[in-house]
Amino acid sequence: MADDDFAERTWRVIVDIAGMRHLASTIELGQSIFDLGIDSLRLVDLTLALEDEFALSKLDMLGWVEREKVANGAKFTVGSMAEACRLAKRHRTSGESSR
Amino acid sequence: MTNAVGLESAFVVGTGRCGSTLLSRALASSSRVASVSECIAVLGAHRVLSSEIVSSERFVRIIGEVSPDQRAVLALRASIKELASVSEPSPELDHPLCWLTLPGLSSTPRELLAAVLLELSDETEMPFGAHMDRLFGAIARHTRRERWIERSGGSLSYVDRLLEFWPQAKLVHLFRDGEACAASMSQHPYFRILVSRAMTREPERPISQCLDMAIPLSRFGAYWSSCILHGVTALRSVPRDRVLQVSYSALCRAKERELGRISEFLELESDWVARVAPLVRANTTARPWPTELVRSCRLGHECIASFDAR
Repeated sequence: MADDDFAERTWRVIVDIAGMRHLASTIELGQSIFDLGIDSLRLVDLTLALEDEFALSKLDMLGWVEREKVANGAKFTVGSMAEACRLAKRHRTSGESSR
Repeated sequence: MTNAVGLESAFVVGTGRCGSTLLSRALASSSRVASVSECIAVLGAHRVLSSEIVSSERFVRIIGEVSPDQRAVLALRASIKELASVSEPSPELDHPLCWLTLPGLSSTPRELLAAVLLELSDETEMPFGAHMDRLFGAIARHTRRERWIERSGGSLSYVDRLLEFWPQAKLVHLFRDGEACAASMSQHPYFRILVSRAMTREPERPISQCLDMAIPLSRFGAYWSSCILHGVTALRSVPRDRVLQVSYSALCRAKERELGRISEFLELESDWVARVAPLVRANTTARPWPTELVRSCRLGHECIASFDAR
């Protein structure tokens, strides 16, 4: 799966959960997910929706939040979220192929 | 740790429906602490944990006012166990502190209220939250306790604001398994209102519409997880020696051990555990939960586990 594909699908899931579907065609990877309207309740929904979207057994949302706070200046961007999904998918895929 | 008025402060925080009322009741039997129950919840966290600078006179007036939301919740008191004891024929005519908080501290709550409000009646101007600190201090002094411990249902959702006003406070975070907690919330009008408003992003959604809304059980699980995520994230910034995390199911399973941890943390009297242990009874709500509910609670459980492991 290309990185662009991850970004686009992550963006689509985020705006859907945030109730901002009208923004679906204008991908902004630097946008904060919280500025888009993701609150703590929707963060839970977002975790489950991204797991479904990318067929992940588990997306470590808590780890992502902690890393964002420390490493990325608490920006919580869509692009960073997409990267977390991509890494989780790769980890899952490599785990499956090594079995 | 002491606060501005020289009294130690502590809070019991939780998601609500987590056993904190039981702990508050147990703390009430301590001769050292004033167990201040549901004070912030009844007065409204959004209202009283504000940085707005007000005079004492205005503070006293505002906390005595009954908001439309409070009035609507009072009208439901027959179906809310915690409010069932509010027996006034017209409770909206009474002071909100006399609904739940002061009756838990005194057999003559109106006299206690008068004494406390008299102490607060001066010209001091300060942030609303700082007035709350004075209020708690006055309650402790007039009940002849060394310090106070406030506990309001659902306080984990605003623990960050508690920490703004009481940065030195000790915090007991009592949590219950998410699935059991969510199931309990789904039966409780107060939490049906909270979840409905959070889902619709309508903080002033009329209570009747909130209660009529069909809410799947998994939404309560997601609400529980979001409270835990929000609260535990805030608790991570507090030094370890000022936060104690306690599991309700562990409290029920091994009550002497868990009460002992609480007693040591809050520096209660040596016989407190033996006195209050009979209050804690085994509570078995474990059952096969729907998959969607389990999934919605997973993030909350992960937060709790990561906090324990830090």
